[in-house]
Amino acid sequence: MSDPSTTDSRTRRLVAYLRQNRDQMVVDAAVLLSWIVVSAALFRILSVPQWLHYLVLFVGIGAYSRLTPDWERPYRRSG
Amino acid sequence: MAVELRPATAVLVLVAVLAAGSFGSLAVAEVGGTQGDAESTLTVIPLENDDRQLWLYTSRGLSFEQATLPINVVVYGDPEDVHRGLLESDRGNWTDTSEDEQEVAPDENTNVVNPTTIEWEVADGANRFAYLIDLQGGVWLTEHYQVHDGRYLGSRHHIRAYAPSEADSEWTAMQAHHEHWDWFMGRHIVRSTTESQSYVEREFAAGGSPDITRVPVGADSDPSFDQWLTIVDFRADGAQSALAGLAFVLGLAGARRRGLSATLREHVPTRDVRTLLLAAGVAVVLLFVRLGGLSLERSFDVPPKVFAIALYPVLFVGLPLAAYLLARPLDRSRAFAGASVGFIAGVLLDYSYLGVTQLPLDVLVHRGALAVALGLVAVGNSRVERHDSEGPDHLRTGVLLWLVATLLPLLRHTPLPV
Repeated sequence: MSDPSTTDSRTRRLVAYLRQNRDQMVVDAAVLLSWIVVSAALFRILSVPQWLHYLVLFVGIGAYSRLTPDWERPYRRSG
Repeated sequence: MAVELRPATAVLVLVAVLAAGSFGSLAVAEVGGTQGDAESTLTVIPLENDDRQLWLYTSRGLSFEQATLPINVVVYGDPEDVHRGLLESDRGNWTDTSEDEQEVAPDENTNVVNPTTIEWEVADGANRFAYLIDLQGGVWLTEHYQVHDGRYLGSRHHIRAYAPSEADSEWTAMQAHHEHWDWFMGRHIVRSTTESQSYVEREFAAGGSPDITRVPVGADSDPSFDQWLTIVDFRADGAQSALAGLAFVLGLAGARRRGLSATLREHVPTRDVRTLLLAAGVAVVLLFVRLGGLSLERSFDVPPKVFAIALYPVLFVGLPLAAYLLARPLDRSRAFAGASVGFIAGVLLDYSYLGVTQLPLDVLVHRGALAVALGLVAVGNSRVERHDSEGPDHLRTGVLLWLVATLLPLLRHTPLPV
């Protein structure tokens, strides 16, 4: 079996990448889905315009992405 | 500083939120479903030669709280003749809207309480009801028929027509609006009711010599009025059947001339060419889906929703993939600019092709988020980013933003409060 760090196959690198970051991706999906639902409910209760909800929702994703661990590449970065 | 969370904890939180969200929205729906005795304060349209009156608005359900677009045309004359006249008209290209061509997905931003609000609406495929008030009470009417002029996956004028059940009835009430298919929202967005009102007026004016007038409609107590109602009267000259015969053909508006040629000149530096290529690639995917959908709809006699479902993955995967792959030789800023500007250019070309000149704010913010997401995905695979293991992971931010922004509209099909 070949080492993902040396393989050139895109598919194999993608699979290795997904496997490496599986836990973090599950966390991300769960947190973001929760964020969508909670923010939507909150903004609906406050009856704030939808565009403002979208803005806060999307900025929140940027902030979340900065504060939480990155997805790591299981192979060497190459040119 | 990174905040770490275990997958099991995150999933537990999600399940709790989903349960609370679904339960909460159901509870809200039940409270909202109770109907007060609002009939006495309704704004109504009086009907000639009929004791009854018609509520000005159509409704998403059998209650006044779910009011949406107002009825904007009332046609006097035999309803079947009026219907046939529209279908046989040479001016417009009206066809009956089959069940497969009705819109999907419920969500509307219409605020009928405040008539100054622009009536943006995300159209819903389910039935719209009109309310006919008589001395004994009232009755909800479903559409007698629906016709449209234009394409499901492009833009079209759409009429919902209501007529009383009696055979000798003499009127048809119409709700006409113009809408376009929004690929990212997965539904139609209603842009204007007045534009279609004028379009329908011209349609009737071209087909015979009916009396056409516009009257203001509003509550008696209110000096300002809710809206203009068009009254078309065919009874005066009995010329219903002439509607089709006398119609004359006007040139269809909109010279649909577009060209997307990324002319690559030799004197332009290579990295500029590659940035252009990235921008063009993203725009081409977007336009390919719009035009592909339209030509498929035109060529095959299959419900257009099938093409919508088949082509959506091309947008969902194709756009970030194009941004990712084409950004490879670029530096960060060029990658971001190329992908996001390409996307915005594509969106603008798409809207000008459809003839859409105004957009609701939330759609604007949504498209902006998509443009930023594509830009970040492109940055994530840019040459510099691949060599620099330090710094934030733009690819992840881009992918997360893209996923949320594209999946958000689809969540409206669930009982969640989004």
